[in-house]
Amino acid sequence: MNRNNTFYLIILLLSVFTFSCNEYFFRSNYNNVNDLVHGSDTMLEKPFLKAHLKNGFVYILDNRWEFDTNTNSITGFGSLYGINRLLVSKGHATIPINNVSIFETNSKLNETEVERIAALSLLAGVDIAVGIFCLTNPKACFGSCPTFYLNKNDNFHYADAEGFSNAISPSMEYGDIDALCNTNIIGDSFSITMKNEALETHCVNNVNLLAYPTNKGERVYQSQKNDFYLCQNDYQVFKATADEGNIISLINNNDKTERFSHTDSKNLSSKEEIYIDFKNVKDLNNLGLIINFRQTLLSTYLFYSAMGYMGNKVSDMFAKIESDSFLRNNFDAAVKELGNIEVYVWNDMNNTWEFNNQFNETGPIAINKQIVLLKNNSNSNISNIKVKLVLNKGLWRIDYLALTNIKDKVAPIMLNPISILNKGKLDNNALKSILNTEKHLISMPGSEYEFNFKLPKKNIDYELFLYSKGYYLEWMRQHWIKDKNLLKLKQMVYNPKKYLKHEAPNFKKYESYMEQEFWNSKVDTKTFSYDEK
Amino acid sequence: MKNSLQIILIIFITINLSSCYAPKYLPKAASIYQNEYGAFIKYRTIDNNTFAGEIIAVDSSNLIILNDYSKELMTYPINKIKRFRLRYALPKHYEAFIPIFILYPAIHGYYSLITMPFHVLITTLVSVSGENDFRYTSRKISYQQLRMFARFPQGIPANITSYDLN
Repeated sequence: MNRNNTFYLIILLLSVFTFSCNEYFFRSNYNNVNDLVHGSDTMLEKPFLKAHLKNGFVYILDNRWEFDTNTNSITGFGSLYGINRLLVSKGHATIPINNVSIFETNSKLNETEVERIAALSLLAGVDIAVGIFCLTNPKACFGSCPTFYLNKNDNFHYADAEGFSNAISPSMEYGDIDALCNTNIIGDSFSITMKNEALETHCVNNVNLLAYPTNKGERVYQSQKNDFYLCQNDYQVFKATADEGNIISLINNNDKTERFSHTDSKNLSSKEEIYIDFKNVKDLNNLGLIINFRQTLLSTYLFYSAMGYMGNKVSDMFAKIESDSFLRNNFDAAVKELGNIEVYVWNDMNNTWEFNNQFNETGPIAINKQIVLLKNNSNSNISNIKVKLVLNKGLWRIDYLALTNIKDKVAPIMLNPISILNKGKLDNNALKSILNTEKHLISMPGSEYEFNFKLPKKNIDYELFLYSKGYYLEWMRQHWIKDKNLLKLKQMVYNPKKYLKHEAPNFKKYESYMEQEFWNSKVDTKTFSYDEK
Repeated sequence: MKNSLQIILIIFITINLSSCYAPKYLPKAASIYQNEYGAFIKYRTIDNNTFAGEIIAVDSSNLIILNDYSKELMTYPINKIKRFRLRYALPKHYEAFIPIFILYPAIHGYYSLITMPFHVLITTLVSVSGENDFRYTSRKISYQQLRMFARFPQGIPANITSYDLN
């Protein structure tokens, strides 16, 4: 059991033992009628009376009973029971005091369920609120694409990779590479778990491990074009500013404390700029910008919006996407309109920002760790490098930025899995499907496959990357059908600029809440950044 | 998944441990004031035997119960009772809600990671609390107070023999 579960369990047990016992004081006994009369007088509400008779019978009277001093008896309405508590009589009763052995009063137990009903009501209230939120904004609540974990007990907050996020139909199938970093490997075994945590069918064609052995001080980074570069020398950020001011504490460590912004309330495709300074860069040749980044939930929102606009035409639309290459290329026109992250480097000679490169990767879950190649600035001989990033507001979360020197372009070895465990059991059929490029491993919601690899040599420091190829089919939700709006879909595809302006107010309605709640479920020492407004 | 099953198992064990058998002669909490029977007691003796039944009477040295299983009157010396647990009304059962409340957060998507533990916590808390209500233990009340929960708080009348009671 992991630490999160243990934490909840401890809270649960503490709560149970602390709050589980209520005590009620509702009963009193009186040996004589004087005590009874005086005792019951002090009660806010007249109690019910039990008169235990000397012969073992008992009268139970409702709260209209009275003591008649003239006849020295108790009168009232109720029932008489025998020694085995069978009903003897019912109705008006007169009980001579001399026949009574002991009196017992009982008050009603009122509102015994109030606390429990309040707790369940509170829970139901939260359920309804979150339920409505998710039903009306499904884009904010449900994930996409297969997620991979080095630690199989982690949840999607700690996903180490996410596969082929853009492949939403068979014709869009592609291979995706994610850096797993130089994970500590003991021996020559390596495992990674693939999960389906969304309402989707994942069709996985390949899962391979790419490995490259490194020496001390060396790292291998992957570029946008899926080339691999052996690097050395890391130069930390000296200064970093964005619209909100100094952001250096957010981007100078690989710690999941990310810098992100909110979208423009008038246009979802508004841009912003980040300025980064590096000092004392010893080697100005072959520089690369290391960037750890992922997307916010904006792209997920747009994708689910498109699905919603299709309504009950979703299957027709996807059939069209399969056969119509224009539609296939423009289905995500709105996301494309948001653009890449553009990298500019300051040119001292010309006093201008010079465009160097750009990059992009879809997916809000796993953090991508990539390198962006910078142009050699042979005319410059100063050791200070200034970089500018131009990016869409509210679309990117940046965790880490640094400069490095590229030593060489390298080619990692590609490894096939040697076995696959399906929820802990060896699954040879799954392995056959993965090894056969003509076949797909079908992973349904809740599925978990553990891929085991054998590395070429023991105890070598390998830089690892995960290659996954396939596509996934999003399940249509009943509540999306009501969102059908083919005109909006058309606008999204043919006029994405206009669409992103019109959609801005709708997205802004829950952007803050969605991001905060989504990432606020942090636990333990693994931290995430969120907006605290 | 394995962890989820462990948690659900622990919940059921917790609820099970906290709940106990409740005989039909106990009243509902709402009609506690018109109950004609004694309360239900379960006690463990110093030689580790367990007995349970309706409290018939308690005197200065003995506890007398109508054993729920043998349906016979039993007299046991108080000084040989290690501990007891008393139930004077039927508990409210909430376990039926547990599967619904635990599965419901599935519609919360990502947020079920947050809402699911709260569901587990609150439904278990409510269930255990419901089971634990209307009970006293030997740590909470004395034998003198225990008399109030007997069928005959005055003691068994002289005219009644053990054969008369059922």
